[in-house]
Amino acid sequence: MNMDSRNGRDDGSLEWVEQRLRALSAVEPPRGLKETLLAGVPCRVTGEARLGRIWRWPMATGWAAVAATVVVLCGILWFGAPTRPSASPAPDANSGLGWVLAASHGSVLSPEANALDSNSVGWVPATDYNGVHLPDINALDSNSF
Amino acid sequence: MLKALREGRREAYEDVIEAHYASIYRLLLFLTRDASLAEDMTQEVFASAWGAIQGFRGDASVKTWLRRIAYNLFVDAQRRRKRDESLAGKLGEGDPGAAADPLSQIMTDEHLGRMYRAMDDLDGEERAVLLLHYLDGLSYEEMARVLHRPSGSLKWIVHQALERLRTLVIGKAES
Repeated sequence: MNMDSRNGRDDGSLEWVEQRLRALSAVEPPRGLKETLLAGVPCRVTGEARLGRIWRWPMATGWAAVAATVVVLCGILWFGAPTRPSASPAPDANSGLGWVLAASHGSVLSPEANALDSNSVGWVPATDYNGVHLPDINALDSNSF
Repeated sequence: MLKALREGRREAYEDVIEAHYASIYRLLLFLTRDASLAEDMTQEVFASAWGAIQGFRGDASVKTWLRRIAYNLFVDAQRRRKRDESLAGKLGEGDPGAAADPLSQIMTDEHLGRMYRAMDDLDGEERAVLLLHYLDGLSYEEMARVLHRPSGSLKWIVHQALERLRTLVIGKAES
């Protein structure tokens, strides 16, 4: 077999076949293919990047949570822990015999609740936050003198 | 490079496309024997790669990885063809003369055209090993990663495929 080619004699040997196989790489891809592939990059990369941000979010949130916790703990240490009104009876400034429960600004209980305490030794008119007297409720206490 | 890809940096993606798109297209062109299908599958290769980049461990090179995706897509397409006869004309049975411009480049060369037609009679794996080794210049170790075959047996497969192709080319020349 003798096949002439532009690159010399073609004898049908394995080397000739190898040479021809390598020559197939001369084929160029269509012109628009590269542009199409490049155009496909932004949305896909954006999608990946967005996914990446989603994965980074917990880390940022975690640090924010740590910072918030530190601030809250510092606040508690500085101002003291909030207490329930019933836990800290304060001597009534108006009477040495009676007690009223201190109404903490942080308490959710209303001053009226304190006024209904039947175990109290004595009563003084409790005041609400605005300084309004609540005489009617105090009058219900049977132990009051 | 891999880090930049994982971070989604556009330049890294562009570099990968620039370096590999032509060879991936050629591989798929000669595997599928269909220019438009090869073009579609090339896009699919890169789309799959971008989608899987976070899971790519980097054990193999990007070059090998992309060819593995391409070959797997080709194998999947072949399987689909067997199930779906409507694709029969798409894979491996296309008319080279009627193909788009890329193939007409080699069809003008008598010997390349004969080589191309002779490759029709090779099976998919034979074609793949010859293309990966001679067209892409992959080593046997790299081919082993792409084709999931031991490199030792690939040497034998390449030799057998080359011998068979030579016989086919001679047969085409004589007929």
